[in-house]
Amino acid sequence: MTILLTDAWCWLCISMAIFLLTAFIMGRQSKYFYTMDVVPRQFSITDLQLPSCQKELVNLIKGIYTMPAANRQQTLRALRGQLWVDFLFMPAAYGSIFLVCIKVASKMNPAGTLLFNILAWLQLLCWLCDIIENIYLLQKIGPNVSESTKTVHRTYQFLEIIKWGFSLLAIVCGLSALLFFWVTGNFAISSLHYLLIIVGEIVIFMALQKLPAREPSPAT
Amino acid sequence: MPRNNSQVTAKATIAISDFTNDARVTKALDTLKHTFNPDKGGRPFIVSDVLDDAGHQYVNLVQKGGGVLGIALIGYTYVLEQMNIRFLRLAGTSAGAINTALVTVIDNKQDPKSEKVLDAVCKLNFFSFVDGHPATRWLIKKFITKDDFAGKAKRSLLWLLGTLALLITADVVLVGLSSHYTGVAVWAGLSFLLTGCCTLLIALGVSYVANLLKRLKNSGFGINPGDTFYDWIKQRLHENGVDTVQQLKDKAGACPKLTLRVENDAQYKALFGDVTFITSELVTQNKIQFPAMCNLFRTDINTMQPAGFIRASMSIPVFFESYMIKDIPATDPRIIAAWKDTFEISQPPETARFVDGGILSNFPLSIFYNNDIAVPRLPTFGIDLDDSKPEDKSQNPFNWSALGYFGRIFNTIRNYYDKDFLQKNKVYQLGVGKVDLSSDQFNWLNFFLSDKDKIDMFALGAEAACEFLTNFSWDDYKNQRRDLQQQLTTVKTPSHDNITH
Repeated sequence: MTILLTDAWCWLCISMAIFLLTAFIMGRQSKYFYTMDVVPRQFSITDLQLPSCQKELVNLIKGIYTMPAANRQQTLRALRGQLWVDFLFMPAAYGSIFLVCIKVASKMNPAGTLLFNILAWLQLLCWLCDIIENIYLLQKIGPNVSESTKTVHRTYQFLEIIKWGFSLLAIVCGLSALLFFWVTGNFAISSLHYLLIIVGEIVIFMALQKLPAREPSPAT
Repeated sequence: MPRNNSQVTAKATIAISDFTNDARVTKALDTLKHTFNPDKGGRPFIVSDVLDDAGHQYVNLVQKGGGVLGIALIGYTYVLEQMNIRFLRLAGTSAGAINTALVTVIDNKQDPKSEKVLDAVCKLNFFSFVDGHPATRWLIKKFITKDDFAGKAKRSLLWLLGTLALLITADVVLVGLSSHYTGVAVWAGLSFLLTGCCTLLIALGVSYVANLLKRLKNSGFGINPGDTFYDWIKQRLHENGVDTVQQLKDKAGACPKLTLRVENDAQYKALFGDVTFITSELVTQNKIQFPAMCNLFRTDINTMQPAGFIRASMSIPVFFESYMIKDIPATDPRIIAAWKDTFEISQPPETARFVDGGILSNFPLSIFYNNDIAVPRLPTFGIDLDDSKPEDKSQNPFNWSALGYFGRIFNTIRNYYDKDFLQKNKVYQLGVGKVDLSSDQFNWLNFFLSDKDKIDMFALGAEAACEFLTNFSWDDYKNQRRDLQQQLTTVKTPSHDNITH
């Protein structure tokens, strides 16, 4: 913990680099996500994460299996690949949020310290929810997918709400507090170097997004 | 995959007798029975020359579309049936198609069906048909059931944006003050956190709306998939022994032995039962009549599901996703010939996309026009649902909202096809009864109908049927129809419109 706190900015740069790299890979993979919904249409991982009902998730997966063989293989490979890469993405993403919150907590008054420590450690819960979600989806993806019970679907939705709710709250609160410290001049000059590194990483990430991707199979 | 039945069916809080024993309904029936009782000084009840052995009089029936207002159609047909009228040929669009389908498949042609249709409606949870995303379900519910929901939503959004502006101002002021008063720094920090949370709320709202719009585009611009309705109507057809198109045709065509009250040159020619559901096909831009035009889509019509015809007919654009028929064997010579014969289209589509038939013909009286019959043997009755509000009927062309303006354009286009037929063949107007549903109590998209609303609509339908039958004269109808036919046959160059209808 001491090492984390001492070198929090350094660790943040590393975790952000992994986060952006895995996000880039996942973004590339998502270009091959197609399902048959009368006509082939593209979908995103959030369609699987936040379906409106049990049936929608099943229809989406069944739609993948009704695609022509080449497109089906491409989509399944990309989808499963993304879910596995997500296991690398998770520690980087939740780790980054954790580090921001821990760093902010160290500069706060007692109430603020408590709040940000709670937000930081809640990221472990978010990570756990994300792992469960990925395992659920990986075992769901198959030609004979069946509709989950209402209870299972509600639990799945609950996990999603926890994951997105706590992680977004922590990001927003952490960034707001950092902004406050920077605006009020209450920061170490050395942290600006790390900020520049992170900005540099984001610029590289955005530049990589411009690289042309291999086109999906023509049938789609 | 069928949806959980409990989602579609609700515990019936009203019984069939709540409808049929309603004072307005019983009064309407008493009035009719008194009016048409020759023993008590009334006139004989004659509405058709086609009879069966049990004395039922047969008519053709066209039911207009109108969303949930279709309950009034049941009230209307209930009174007709109570007056021993039965339906030989049936046609309907949208909600009219639903009632038409149920009247067609339940029991036999000579049996009354309205009470069984009512039974299905009593057990039905209308809102289950709104089967889209939970957020859109919530929005639709609020829009329909809450007064001025759009205004409240707008005020809430303004309030949120105002709060954000206030918080940003507080951030700037408090940061400035914190350099002079150290105690203010805590409040400044808190203000920054609240600003972040407020921004998050707005960002989530915006991304959620963007996501919903994306879903709307992906789903073919339909908010609700309509799967629940499809499963429901499929189940109703199945319960009545209709799983294939042929079974539907057989059921619609099965008639008891029919006789003619008076001699007619046409005798029994083309005196058969059938059913027609109207839908609009967007790929080739045509009006499609199911099941008659099934051969446009399949070489073996029994590979089609008849529930799909009703689903196609009721696909209110945007509210429901379009109904699709895919994998049409477009290169099969039989399919090519069918499209060529019907629409002069030599390259059939591989996928057909249907929306509500009401956008082309919401009141398809024209399909029962028979040019070969000089003197009609039975009338065509039509049930018109009039839900136009006073502002819709206003002749002031200046005080319309943008929505009202575009609504007028849309209605002018969509109603013209049917209106044109009625204007050129006025005799058909004699068979049309109008149910007045213009009260603010009724909204054609209100899937949250109270039991009272349902009973009121049923009663209005019953009262409209009573008024119609009281004023209807079969002799007038027959004579005017005969005169029309004579005019057509004596005119050397008949008008194009009358021939095509």
